Amino acid sequence: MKKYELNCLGEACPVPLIRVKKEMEKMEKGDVLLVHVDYACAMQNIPNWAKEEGHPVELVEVNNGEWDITITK
Amino acid sequence: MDNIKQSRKKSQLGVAVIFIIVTIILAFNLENSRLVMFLLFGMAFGLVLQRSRFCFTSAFRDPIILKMYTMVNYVLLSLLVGVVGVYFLQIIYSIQGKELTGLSAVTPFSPLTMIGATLFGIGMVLAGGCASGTLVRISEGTKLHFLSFIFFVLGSILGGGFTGIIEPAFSNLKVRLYLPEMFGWTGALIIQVLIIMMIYFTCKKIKNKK
Repeated sequence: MKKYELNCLGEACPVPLIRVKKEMEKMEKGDVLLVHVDYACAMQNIPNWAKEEGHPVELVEVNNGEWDITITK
Repeated sequence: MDNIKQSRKKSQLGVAVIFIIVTIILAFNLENSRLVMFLLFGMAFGLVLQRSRFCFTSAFRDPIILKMYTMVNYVLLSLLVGVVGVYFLQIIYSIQGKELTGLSAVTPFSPLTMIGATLFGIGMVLAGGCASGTLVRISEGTKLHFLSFIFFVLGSILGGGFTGIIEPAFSNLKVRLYLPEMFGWTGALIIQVLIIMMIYFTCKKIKNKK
C-alpha cells in the first residue's frame, strides 16, 4: 500500500478534482491519497466524486476553511 | 457530510450576530426602508447559497469537464420551484384583483444575448464563480475571488457602456417571447416544467451511458 499526497491549497474549482482524478489513475488498488484543500467547493465535490466512484473517503477539517481528504482506491 | 471531523475550530457565530445587528441598524438609517427587507432576503439567500455550496458555475462547467451532473439537478430543481412559485403568485394576484406580470417585464432577446451569455460563461469558468458564487466565496475568505470581484465590477461597467453603443444596431433582431401571453399561465407552466424535465432526463441519459 503506497501513500500519495496532493497539495491543492490555494487552488480553485475545478483544478483540485482534476488533479485528484489524474493522480488516482496512477494509483493501484489499496493505495491511499491524501489531498489538502482550502476551497470550499473542492471539499464538497472531491468526496462526492469519490463516493460516486465507490472509493472510501474521509474528510477532516484541520483548520478553519482547510480540509484534508483521504481517499482509498 | 456524514463522515466529517472537526478539530481546532472556533465558533464565528458571535461575530456574525454582531455584524448582522450593526448592518440592520445601518440599514434602518437609510432613506428607503425597503432596503432593510432586501438586506434580510439577501442575507437569507447568501446563507442558503453558502451552506448548500450551491454554484451556478459548477452546474454549467462540471457536466463538460468532469462529467458530474449533481449541480445541474440542483439548478433544475430551483428553476422548478421558481416556475411553480411564480405561477401561484400570479394566481394570488388575480384573486386579489391586482395586475398580472405583463409583457413589459420581459427583456427582449437578441443575438447580443447569446454573445453575452457565451462571454459570461467563459469568464465565470476562468474566474471560478458567477456573481453570487464570487460574493459567497469572498465572505468565505478566498483571496482569488477578491480579484474576480474587482474585475467583475470593471467588466460590468465596460459591458454596460458597450451595450449602449452596440444595442441600437441589433434593435431589429430583437425577439420578445412571452409564454403566458401565447399559451396562458397554465400552458406556460406546463411548457416550462416539460422543458426542465427534458433537460433532466437528457442529463440522466448521458450520465448512464458513461
